[in-house]
Amino acid sequence: MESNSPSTVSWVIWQLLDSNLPTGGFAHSYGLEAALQLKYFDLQSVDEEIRVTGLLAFARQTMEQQASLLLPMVSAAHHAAKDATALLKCTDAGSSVSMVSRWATLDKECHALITTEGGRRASTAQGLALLRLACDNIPSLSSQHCQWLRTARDLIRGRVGDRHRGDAAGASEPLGVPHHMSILSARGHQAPVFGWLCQALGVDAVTCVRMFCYLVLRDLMAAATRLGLVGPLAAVRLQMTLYEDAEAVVGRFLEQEASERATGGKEGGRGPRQENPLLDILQGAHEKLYSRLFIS
Amino acid sequence: MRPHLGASSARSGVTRQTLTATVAPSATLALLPDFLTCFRCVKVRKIVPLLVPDSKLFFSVSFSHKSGADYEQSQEIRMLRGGNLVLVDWYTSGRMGRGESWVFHRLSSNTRVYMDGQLLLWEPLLLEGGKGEGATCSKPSSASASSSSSRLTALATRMGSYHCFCLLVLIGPRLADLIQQVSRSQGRPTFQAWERGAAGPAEHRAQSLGDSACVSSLCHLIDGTQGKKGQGLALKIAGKATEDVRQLLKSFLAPLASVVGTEPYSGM
Repeated sequence: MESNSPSTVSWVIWQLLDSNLPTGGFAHSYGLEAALQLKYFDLQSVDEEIRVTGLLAFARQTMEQQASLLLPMVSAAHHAAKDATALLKCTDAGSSVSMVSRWATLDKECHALITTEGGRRASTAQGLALLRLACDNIPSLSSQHCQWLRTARDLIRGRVGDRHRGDAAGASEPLGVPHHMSILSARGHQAPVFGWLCQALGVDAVTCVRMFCYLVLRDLMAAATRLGLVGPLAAVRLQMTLYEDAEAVVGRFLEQEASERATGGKEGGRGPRQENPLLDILQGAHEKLYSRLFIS
Repeated sequence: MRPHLGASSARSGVTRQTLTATVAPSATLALLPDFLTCFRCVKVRKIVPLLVPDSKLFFSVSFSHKSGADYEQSQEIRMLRGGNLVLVDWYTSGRMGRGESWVFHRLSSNTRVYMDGQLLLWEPLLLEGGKGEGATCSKPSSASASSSSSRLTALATRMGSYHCFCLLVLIGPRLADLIQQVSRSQGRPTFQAWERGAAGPAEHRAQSLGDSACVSSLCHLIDGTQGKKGQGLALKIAGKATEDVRQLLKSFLAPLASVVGTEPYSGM
């Protein structure tokens, strides 16, 4: 069986979505814990029906927010990796520089877009974990993609090294990174890593976008269960209830992206948008909670 | 500092404002505008004189619905290391006295701040009327507007009971004390303060988000060295009333009086 044949890709998709994949998604609540403690969305109501209605509203708003802000980064990374793969087929020399440079740009954009401390931590923790496990544990990746992943990892390590040295101005060359790429730095945000890895594993763009939304929904429902908002069985039922909404969110994104790609939008795709400023602030308020179960 | 400001009202009905500025080392750029308010759709009454064959003059009164405000704003600030920036960008839900609440057509604000060519902050805000809002105000011009009907949650629902939102950006060595001061005010409230609602800044006193006059979220933009926070932050504030946010801005930015010559937001 070929490594990127449709049947193999299905198995890969299931594994990437598996809760057993050690990327740490379950450490984040997307602001649900803050909403609960700050008594928003009626999440502290004793009436279960009101509580569930509030949770569904929160989930819908979170999905829409993540889709409008981060799906463009996932999709852009997926498309950039596709272009880079085509480039690799022509020439090996210098192409990894172009690949890493493009990814590092998306990573920087992602960092500038996420303006909550907790959100940044959550995104980089999951991105780094995904990168770490992909580097050495996915045998079906091509050698070029493996090389890219290692270079990307070194780039991030270089940055971490600088931070540990406590001298950003010192800015020595990142560890293991060639001299001509030492001006690059990266943090390893989840959205670009996820989009890039999906393309490298042969997952198509639409499925990749759906997968990202699924992860948001899955982690959110897991957080709701751990926070005691609903039981595990009710969480399954509610998650299934939300699939229609999730598909509407994905459909709207794909429609807008196709429209903006046709009219020459941001690098041929749909640019990110912040459409829910209040939810954004709520997610940032997680930092102020006295006691916290989740990282964000 | 080399600012370039442009504003236009294109035939499409979209009002645009573009600001591009470069901040040189040791220079300070303070953008301290009043809040932005986008209006709802207005009913326009047209009186047209009609001359009929029997020479009597009649006036025909026709009503047409003009779409609500459609506003686009782009701010690009390019800083060189050592430059200083105070940026305030705030907007309200509409003319609250007339009962307007998030009923304008579209508000788009794209703010980018660079430091030595590196993107530090990117805030691509987009607020569009959602389901059922401005239903009488058809606006076919924008491609994105056509898909707003499929959004799950309407704009007014998303914004909750908050009517004023603000982005405050502070960057630069000259603002180090101010940055530390704002940063400290956003620290985690003590358990006692949280429980009793007796101490701390106003936004910490309330027992729940629904009761708070203002909520805020802070993010450091520049990595600190040796464990210290960096010289740059972005603070996002949501207020139930414009005055609540203005008071916060006034208290935060009072130390700027020595730079700009007057206390910002003290005389509105």
